[in-house]
Amino acid sequence: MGVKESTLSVGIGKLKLKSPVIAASGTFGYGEEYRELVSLSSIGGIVTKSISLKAYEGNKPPRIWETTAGMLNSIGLQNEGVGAFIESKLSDLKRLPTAVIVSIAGDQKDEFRELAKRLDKTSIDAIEINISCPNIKHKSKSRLFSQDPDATAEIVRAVRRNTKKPLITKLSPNVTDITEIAKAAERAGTDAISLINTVIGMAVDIDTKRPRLGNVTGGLSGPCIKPIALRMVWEVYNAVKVPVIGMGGIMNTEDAIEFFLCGASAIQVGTANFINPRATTEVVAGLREYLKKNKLTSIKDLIGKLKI
Amino acid sequence: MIQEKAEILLNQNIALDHYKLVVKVDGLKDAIKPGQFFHIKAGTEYDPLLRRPLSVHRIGSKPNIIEFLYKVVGKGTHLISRRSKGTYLDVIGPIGNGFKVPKSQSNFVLIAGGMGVAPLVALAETLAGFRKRSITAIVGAKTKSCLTCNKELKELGAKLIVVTEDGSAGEKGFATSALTDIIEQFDLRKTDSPHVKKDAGHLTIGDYRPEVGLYACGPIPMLKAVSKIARKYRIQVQASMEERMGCGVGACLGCAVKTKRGYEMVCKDGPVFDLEDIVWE
Ligand SMILES: Cc1cc2nc3c(=O)[nH]c(=O)nc-3n(C[C@H](O)[C@H](O)[C@H](O)COP(=O)(O)OP(=O)(O)OC[C@H]3O[C@@H](n4cnc5c(N)ncnc54)[C@H](O)[C@@H]3O)c2cc1C
Ligand SMILES: Cc1cc2nc3c(=O)[nH]c(=O)nc-3n(C[C@H](O)[C@H](O)[C@H](O)COP(=O)(O)O)c2cc1C
Ligand code: FES
Repeated sequence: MGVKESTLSVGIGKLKLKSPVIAASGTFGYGEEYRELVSLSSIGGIVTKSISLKAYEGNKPPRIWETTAGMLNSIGLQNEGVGAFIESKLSDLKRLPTAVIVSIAGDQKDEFRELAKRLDKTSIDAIEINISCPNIKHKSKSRLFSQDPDATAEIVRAVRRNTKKPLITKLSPNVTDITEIAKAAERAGTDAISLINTVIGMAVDIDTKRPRLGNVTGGLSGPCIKPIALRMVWEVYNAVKVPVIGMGGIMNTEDAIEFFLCGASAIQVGTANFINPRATTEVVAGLREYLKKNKLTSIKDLIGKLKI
Repeated sequence: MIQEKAEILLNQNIALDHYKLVVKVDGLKDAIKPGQFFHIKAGTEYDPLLRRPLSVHRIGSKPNIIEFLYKVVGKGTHLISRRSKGTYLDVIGPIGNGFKVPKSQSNFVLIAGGMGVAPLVALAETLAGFRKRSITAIVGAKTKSCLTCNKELKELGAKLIVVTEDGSAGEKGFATSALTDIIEQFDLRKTDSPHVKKDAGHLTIGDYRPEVGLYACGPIPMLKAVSKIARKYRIQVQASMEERMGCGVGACLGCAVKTKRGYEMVCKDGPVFDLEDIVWE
């Protein structure tokens, strides 16, 4: 058992994960929602729904629209705020047999700083900085902080100064040059980069001539965005030294392996959880089998091994 | 709640675009409550991607056998309709809170619009087991051929009132047109409950008339109209609501409806809501 387990373990900075498969923010709630459906003991970690300083009500419904091999969402970061999170959710989360990564979001730098301070005192395993949610308005000159290298760096720095927890910065694909943003986050002290958040999109009802989503635009996720995600993971892997956590449309083991080959040190599974709540654990089992079949001693032997 | 491969025992076309689906779900831990639903994977490819929610239509007496009643409206339901007996459907459920049936109540009015009849038959099934009770079912449909549950409702002891939009069966009109008459029969104005406050801004449990319970499922305009009528008589309406879903388990916060307490989730906090709590947008 020991040997098998170690082949899948990876380190994301100081964060040690027993396997490189993580449930993505906003798709796995706070873990408890899936408790009856899946045992999380084999997965590396879960990222919580993004948490803000004060409660967010969320966007006007409809919040979901299914697209070809994907879905649009405009949830709008509905959450109870960090105080309520620490009080009512954290102790249950910490009882899960996997690492707890808390995603934080806000519309200005001070909020991120305060969130980092509050969470630094808790027992969580790491922080993921969400500066890439397309469904809230950021107070920045661009629509998203992660569309602006300076704003990205400022926020990462503010968080870095206020916590010793491992830091993952999550980037948006809605940019012209992803490597520029990734490098800015790296310089500002992030321990890892995760990508991609959703791709901004729209759908229209031609009968009513109205947008399908209450918030007009939303974030596209699922299998249809995988090619974009892979390309961006590959670009970022070649541009930075910190580990990259890849996501976007991963439905199964084969998808996950593509991401490792493109340079991901770990992967996150998002939308797939909705279709198959056991998706994360099935990918872990699949990876274990793949390593065995290919006589590889560690998942690390796959990372960035794309042959050009 | 479990995720299971459910064996299809029957998947039968019973009227134009209407199907009855009977599955065997092994391993169910808890008893199913009327109003709960299952989240069903329609196909095996990525289009359609998401699961489809279907209400439990009949709970039946045999353990692990569940019936659904669905209408083909798009890709997902079409795919489900093509699945044959003996094959397996990936289902998650039972999901949601279900209808609450107060022990004290003896008069039940069920009002359905379109496919809204599906979960109300499950409710009638439960109510049929009660000793002293009267069930009135107002069933509204577009046209005669969409009335698929008349026989079942009658067998369960419900007094049936049929309304169709084109007048091809029963009265012509909407289900709500028949509602006021039915409520008037209970002579509510004369029973002055001491609990009933005049002009309460927001009715809560204590404000409702105890004599009658109203249960609704159907399109939003119908629910709005039902809510307005019921409010006049201070009758509680428990309604099964619909919203587009991602996860079906309360994790994605996608299936939000606005309530007086803020956004709540159809899959986790519902699908049955007290209509008095809904903020219509
Ligand atoms: C709690 C609940 C219980 C339901 N019970 C029944 C039932 O017993 N019988 C029945 O015939 N129908 C029921 N519905 C509606 C049923 O889920 C939709 O008709 C079905 O999802 C349509 O899928 P489609 O691919 O055929 O249609 P499409 O229109 O192609 O679907 C596109 C997307 O929209 C979603 N969608 C479409 N219509 C609805 C709707 N009315 N509510 C929620 N999501 C929708 C689909 O799930 C899918 O994600 C219920 C809905 C909910 C929320
Ligand atoms: C319904 C939904 C809600 C999401 N909420 C968040 C969120 O709160 N914070 C965040 O960083 N990402 C959020 N995401 C983005 C996912 O974490 C992920 O980056 C994206 O969906 C791409 O991966 P996927 O294709 O595997 O889903 C959300 C995605 C979905 C579908
Ligand atoms: S469908 Fe995800 S919260 Fe209801």
